[in-house]
Amino acid sequence: MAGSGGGGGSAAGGSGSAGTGGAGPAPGCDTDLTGTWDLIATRAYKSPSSGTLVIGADALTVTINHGSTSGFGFDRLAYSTQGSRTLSWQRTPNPAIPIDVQNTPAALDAGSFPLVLGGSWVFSANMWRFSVSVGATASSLIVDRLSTGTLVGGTWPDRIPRPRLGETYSVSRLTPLASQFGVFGGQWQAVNDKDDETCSIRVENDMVQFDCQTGNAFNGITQLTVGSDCVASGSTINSGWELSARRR
Amino acid sequence: MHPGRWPLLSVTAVWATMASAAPQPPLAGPDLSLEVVTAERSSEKAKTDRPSPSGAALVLNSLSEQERSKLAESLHSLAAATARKRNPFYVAIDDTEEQAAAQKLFAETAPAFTAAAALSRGRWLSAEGDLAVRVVKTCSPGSRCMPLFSQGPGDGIEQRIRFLAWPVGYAVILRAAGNDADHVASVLRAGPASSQIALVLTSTELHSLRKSPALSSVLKSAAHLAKKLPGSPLVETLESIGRAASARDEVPWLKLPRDTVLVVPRLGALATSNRFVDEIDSRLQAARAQVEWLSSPRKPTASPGDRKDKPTFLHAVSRQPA
Repeated sequence: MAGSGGGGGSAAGGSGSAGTGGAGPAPGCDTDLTGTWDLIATRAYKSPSSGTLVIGADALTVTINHGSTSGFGFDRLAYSTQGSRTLSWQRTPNPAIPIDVQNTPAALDAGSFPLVLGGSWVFSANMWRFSVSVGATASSLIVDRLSTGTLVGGTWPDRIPRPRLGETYSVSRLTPLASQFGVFGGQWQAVNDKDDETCSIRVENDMVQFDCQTGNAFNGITQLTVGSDCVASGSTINSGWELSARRR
Repeated sequence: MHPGRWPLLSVTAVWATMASAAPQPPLAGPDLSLEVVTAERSSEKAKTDRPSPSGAALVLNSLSEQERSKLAESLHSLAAATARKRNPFYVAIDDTEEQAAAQKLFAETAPAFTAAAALSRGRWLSAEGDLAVRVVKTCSPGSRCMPLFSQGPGDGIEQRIRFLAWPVGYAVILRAAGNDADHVASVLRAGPASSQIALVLTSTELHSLRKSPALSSVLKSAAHLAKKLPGSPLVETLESIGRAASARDEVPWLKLPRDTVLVVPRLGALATSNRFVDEIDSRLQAARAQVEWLSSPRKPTASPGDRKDKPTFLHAVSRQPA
């Protein structure tokens, strides 16, 4: 493998460099989403939480506060390739859980999405291991268990729908479509190897839509739109999630 | 023409003028009280995040009579599904029926509750707590201010402030011609469920629960169901609906002019504010409802714009004023 495992990294601060560099106005969000974003997110019948998203070519940090500000604690997913490759998940007051990352990179044009995504990835933490392949016309996700035992320092990030253990999810592009997300533009079909969870995914222009039959929070229709004014928003119709973000 | 009003049909020119020449806000008024919130006080308050009202009364007021009846039916269906599940002679193959009833309720009410809860906070903070936004009658000296009533996105800091305070910053505020805000509100509530609109409230409905025959059924069903679903994420919301009749004013600080209608977008629709505005516009046009657009995040495709002379202000307090 070309990339080497990180692990052990702590969540770097809530904000920071997103690799924007230099002066001058940021490029439009239809061409580059790099920057720091204000987030407002909510689950059904909960008061909205604030947060930030910092994204660039070599870093991604998502912080969702437990209340209206970071003073109430937060959930944070932090990834960086600056120096050594590190990925961690933290739910305060618990310490950050390091997630080992292995990557064999491959060229992939993700359009306005700045983070390098292409290639083969393996994410390992606690008892979980996710093997992910991201390609221009097909991707896959394999979830397996490394060992039995007690989770250390926390659980699966509950804001992220959990794939089912021991299953392989395959994603293939049926039709290409014009999109600001490069090769991800298209009509895609995702299915697990038991054939009982499926998603129809449409990525077109500034919009991403998932229409899923799953047993987790992805069930139903999830839609995200990125406006040219750098305001992005979306929702899941069935579970009542709503989100908006604006680049600073 | 009424002083201070723009003619309804001077469409594009009015919008363009308003966008480029924002009026100077008054800094004080003899009949207005002023609360000064410093950056330090803002941080202190942030650490003791006060509980906000549920917004249940706002949600109920935003529903038409027909929608209230539908909500009562949904609550009744969920209660029936729950009761069947508890019947020892009922063998449930799965929870599909109950889930379907709950999901229908989610879809019908969750965006409205999100918007109402966010609106009734009355004070919106940046993630780091360094920027606090609230609606005031008069701006404190030295603070950054901007009119609540907006005819466009504004500059970078204004856009950020309006985003943080999205229930008012991205709202459309209309003044009904002919003093008929109730009619305008009913027009906006009519038709298929909107993917863009979360709340439609007249200036009166912002502050007191509108009585109607279907309301009592909703209140009763919600209170009943709350007792049947212990541990459900719905319980708190159901209880707040059940108590809505006795709830106090949830937005006492938002005194909009008479005959105005506040239209709040869904949180998940801020990126599509053009669709939000155009949906409002098309519903008004279809019903031939006459309004003045006092505030809007975008210029509607076809309707005239206007603004009020004495706006309420968005009040932003920052450690590092822009």
